[in-house]
Amino acid sequence: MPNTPLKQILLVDDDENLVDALAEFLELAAAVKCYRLRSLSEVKGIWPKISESKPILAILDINLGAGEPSGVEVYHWLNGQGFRGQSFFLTGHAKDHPLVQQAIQIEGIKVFEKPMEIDRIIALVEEAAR
Amino acid sequence: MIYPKRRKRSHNDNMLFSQGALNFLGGLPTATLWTLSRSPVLEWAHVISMISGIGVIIFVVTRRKVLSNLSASLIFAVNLIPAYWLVWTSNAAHSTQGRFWIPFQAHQLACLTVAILAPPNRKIGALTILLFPALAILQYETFSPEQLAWLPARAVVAPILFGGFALILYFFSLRGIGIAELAAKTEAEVQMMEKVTHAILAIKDLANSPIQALSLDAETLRRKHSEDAPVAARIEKSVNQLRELNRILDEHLRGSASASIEASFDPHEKLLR
Repeated sequence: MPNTPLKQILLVDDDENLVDALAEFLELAAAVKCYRLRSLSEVKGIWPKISESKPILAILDINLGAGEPSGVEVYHWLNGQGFRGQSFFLTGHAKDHPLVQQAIQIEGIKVFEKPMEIDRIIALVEEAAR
Repeated sequence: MIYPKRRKRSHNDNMLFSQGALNFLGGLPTATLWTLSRSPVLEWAHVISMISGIGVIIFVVTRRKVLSNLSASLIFAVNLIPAYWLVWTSNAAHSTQGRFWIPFQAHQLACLTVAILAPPNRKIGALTILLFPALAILQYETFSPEQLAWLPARAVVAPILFGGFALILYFFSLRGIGIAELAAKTEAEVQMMEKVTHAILAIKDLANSPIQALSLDAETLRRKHSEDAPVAARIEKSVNQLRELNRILDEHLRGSASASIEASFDPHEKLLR
């Protein structure tokens, strides 16, 4: 049986527990490889190693903590680097938060409020993997 | 902190402070002239007026608790006693000087002043206003024919008219004060609602990631270790209760001022402040 490389997903959230829980769950349920990242600087650090393997999806938290670039900035940076996978945002903030508004205004990008239904997360991953 | 540390000055504070200042300033010229030996007589009414004025000012400035309308009106009425005394003695003094004078002018000005200061209890307010024309009538009745000979005809008509006008002015003042207080109360309620809304948003913001993480962990546990399915189910049940709390908070936020308030905030700061 050929050893097919696992599809890769970028998880960017400043909440370490959530990143670990999401990664562990997706690796188990959707057979993907997750990169657990907490900030734009970590994304920049790992990007040269993973860009060749073309990640299929980026799940981005919008607020990455005080003083850190937001998930919206991570999205724009990834796009600038030629990332062609799908992206969606997760947020615990209210919809009228300025950062959430910025994310909503990006064309073709979905913004989901935490906590998201598990089945919905799997469906989005499967859609990106197709 | 939801409630302000310092109490805002109310109408009652302003009213009593103004009355205290007027009582003190009213007695000041006579006391000064007496001190400089330009006046041979110092009326006790002036001294008491100044003392009560200072007393009320100190009371208003140092008090921390909110004064009820009845208490404030009663203090106001008691503090008016030197004023009644003063208008009586000054008219009595003028009436014995044996020359024409304009009677009861002080009564007229005093009842207008009470109407402007507007004690909040209507009965006490009306009574304190009407006491001035009543005192004028009473004093008029006590004048001897010699004293009356120096007075213009119908000398008590003016204080009665002023009393009536003062009553109308008083009730309009009360109405204006009532509207202003209602507006202030409404504004305070709006501010309180905004703070509660911010607090709910902050709680939701802090709770959503842990709820999501727990939900994922429960599902992972269920899939990895089927024997732990009851544990995962319990966690999931608890998570669902937290989701329900989230839904209830959303219901509270619906229709609130959340969209109109400044939306960018640090949840920790909002909750700890």
